[in-house]
Amino acid sequence: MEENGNLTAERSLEIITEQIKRSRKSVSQEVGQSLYIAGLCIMGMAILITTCLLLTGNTLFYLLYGLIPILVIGIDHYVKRDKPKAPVSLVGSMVDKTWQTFGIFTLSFCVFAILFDFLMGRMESPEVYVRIAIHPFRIILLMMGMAITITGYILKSRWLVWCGIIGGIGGFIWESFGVADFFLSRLSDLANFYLYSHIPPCIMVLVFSFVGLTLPGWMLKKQK
Amino acid sequence: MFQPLDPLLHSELRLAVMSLLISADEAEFPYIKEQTGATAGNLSVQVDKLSAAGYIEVEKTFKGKRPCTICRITDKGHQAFEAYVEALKGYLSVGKS
Repeated sequence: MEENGNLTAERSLEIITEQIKRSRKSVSQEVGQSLYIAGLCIMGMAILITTCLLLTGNTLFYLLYGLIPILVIGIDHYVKRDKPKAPVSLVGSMVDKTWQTFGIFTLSFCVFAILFDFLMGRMESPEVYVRIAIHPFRIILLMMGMAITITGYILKSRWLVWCGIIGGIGGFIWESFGVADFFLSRLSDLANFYLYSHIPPCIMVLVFSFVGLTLPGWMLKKQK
Repeated sequence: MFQPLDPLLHSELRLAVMSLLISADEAEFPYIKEQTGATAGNLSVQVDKLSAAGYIEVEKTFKGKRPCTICRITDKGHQAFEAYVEALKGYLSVGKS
């Protein structure tokens, strides 16, 4: 872009529109990069946690999910270290606030649910425990779907909205009806059912992180 | 009657810089350079002109060990940009009619 004194009104309007669009696009790409990294981190962590659970059977390994924000922030910072930072805009800060809210609520709920289940599993009889145990995944998926949908609306990205709705509500229904457990119980005997019962949440996290984070993140990142 | 267009904003690069900054609280110099596709020298000259007119603030700081220049639009810059857009509307509405 060079100096040009003979600007027409139309060209001026074009420049203003183009720069505002570019600004929005650069925010979208930065958000896309973060969603992509978050998706990959969650998928990797799900595999790691499931492997640890299968090897030890200790459900406290679920607390490793709490490390995801630190991991995502660290990798995100490393990947973007040499790129000029997108400016703090209204769009960018709305997306940031949406995900900060999601992070605060999810982490608090997740830690509470895991500790509650851990304690109740030791304090109550199995009959009572089955009734009072909290299954955090369905709520996390629902909240994640909400955050993705809101992000989609802010960035005016229709398919991001749909990924959020399908991922969030789909995950919630899948987990609420115990679809994976149903298939698992049909495919394995009782001993193996308990051994492999840690796999369905992992598959669910993998699938819905891919649909809700990795895929839309990759598409936002690659947009022209 | 047409309102006069601010000559300081009626330039491709300066208008692009102001349009970028209008929707952001602040932006780093390399980001503005990347978005406008201008050369560092040319951009620096135009940024200085906008800064001298009080339309933007330029803060020279450090990001880690590297120097970092941050540009911020001022209230005066906001008002000038709004006035420019209003004036532009007048020209465009005549063009359409």
